[in-house]
Amino acid sequence: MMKHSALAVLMMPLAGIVALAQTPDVAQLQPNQATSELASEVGSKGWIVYSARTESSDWELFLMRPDGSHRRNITNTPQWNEAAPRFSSDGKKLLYRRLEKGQTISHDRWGFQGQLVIAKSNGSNPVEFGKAGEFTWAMWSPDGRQVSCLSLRGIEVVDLASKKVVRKLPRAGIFQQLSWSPDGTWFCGAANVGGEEWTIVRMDATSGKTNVVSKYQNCTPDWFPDSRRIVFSNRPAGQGAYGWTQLWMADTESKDRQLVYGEDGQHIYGGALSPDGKYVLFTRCPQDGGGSERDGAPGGLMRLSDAPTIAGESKALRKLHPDTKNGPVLSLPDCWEPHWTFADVGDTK
Amino acid sequence: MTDTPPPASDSQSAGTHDVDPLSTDARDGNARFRVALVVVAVLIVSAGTFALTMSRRGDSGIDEYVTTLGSVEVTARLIEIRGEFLPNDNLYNYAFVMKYEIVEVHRGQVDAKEIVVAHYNPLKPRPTVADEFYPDIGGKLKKFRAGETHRMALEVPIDDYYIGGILDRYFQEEKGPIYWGVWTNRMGRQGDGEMGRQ
Repeated sequence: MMKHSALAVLMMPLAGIVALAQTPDVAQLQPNQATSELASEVGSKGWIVYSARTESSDWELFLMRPDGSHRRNITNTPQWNEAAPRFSSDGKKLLYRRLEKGQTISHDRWGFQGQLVIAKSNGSNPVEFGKAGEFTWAMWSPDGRQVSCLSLRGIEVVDLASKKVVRKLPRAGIFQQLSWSPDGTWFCGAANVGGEEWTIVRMDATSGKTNVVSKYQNCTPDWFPDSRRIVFSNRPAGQGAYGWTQLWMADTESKDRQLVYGEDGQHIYGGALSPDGKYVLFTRCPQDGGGSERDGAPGGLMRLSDAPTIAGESKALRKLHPDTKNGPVLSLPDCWEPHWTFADVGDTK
Repeated sequence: MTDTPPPASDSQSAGTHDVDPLSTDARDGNARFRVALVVVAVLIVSAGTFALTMSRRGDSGIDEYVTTLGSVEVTARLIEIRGEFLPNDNLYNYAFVMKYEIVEVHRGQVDAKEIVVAHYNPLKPRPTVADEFYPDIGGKLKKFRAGETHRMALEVPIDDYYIGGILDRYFQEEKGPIYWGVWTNRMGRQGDGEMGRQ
């Protein structure tokens, strides 16, 4: 009995070591059992569309399964650059911007560049909608029959069938990245508020009244399916020198904010939710800007239930967020501004 | 009787004896030299006058752009640059609000003695500040310095002409509309603060 007790005591530290090995203290970016399980979990959940550079250095649109499989080029236009695709809410259509080949895609002003194109969600039947520089920052309405646009004229809701402006609002400081909530009642975007640029605001889509959601160095807001929360990028102050951009989410009513994903050494952009709000897509770029001026950046996918997740050593960030869950992060191909639909759009042209 | 040829005149036998420094030829040469000197002097004075005139034109900050672009044209003294500029590293672009004291209004209507002007990407020299999104802005000013006087073409209100980040450190103060800096030339001696249009 004594021998057994001594053996048990000796085994306890070993068991602890084994347990620690099974509970990683950093987010799991390298393929392992946890990321494999995540890949299996999301692999059949619709499709992701994204822009990426090809071997001939132009930008094209690609489709892939959320686990990164079944990748294929759906635009195949070496004479153009295509960027910033968005599925309509029913997943049947796609809008994106078509730029001149050789034109650098601005990571935060792309919505003003090139020409709006609307196509079927598998990339077929692309139709030019207006001229270059028109229908800027176009974003689908919930029913896919209208788009909201942002320009010097303000926020305009355009009927797609007639191309006429059916509603107009002052832009109230919003200057880029306008996004229309899935229920159609709100806009959000990056705005000049209180002397500070890059503040995320929410705007009532009927009255035009705005409220601040997150101040100081925020961008690329996107709505959750519940039309109440948004996901966005934020480079918080107090990180020493330049700092790293992290992915955050906030409740637009209560303004409660929470870190979603952070990693010292990487700027996190391109946050986009799965249609059920359970997963989030993003890109990880060692240089600020998200990679559109270069070759894109590695994509990532994680469960929102694993937020906040922190990768790498990230000592200061971990100290600020001791509740980190270190969930698995599925690595995806180099991309920029990915978007997700559960619709079955993977049929051939 | 045999006619003898008349003796050759001095002129006809030139070279056969010393030249008289007071001869007609010498006097003509001197006259031409003096005329040339006068012409050169006149040219030098004219060039100097021209240069001075051009220099004074540079002092006024006037060019074909500042006098025609925008709906407002002013001469104004930059009285304050509040805080530091953010980097202009070709990654982020923004307009920075600066405070000016009006010296003279040349075009348009400005009622205030002080105005605020937002200049696009303020760390960039005005001759190179235009880009894909704002191709029609510029000027000769190389660097913004408080205390200097600028001749500027402006637009107002800024939201009708510029859609982008604005860093406004006067946001808590009553300051009137923000003007959009379209064209900015420095007034003063040519040199450090001035560059030609590129």
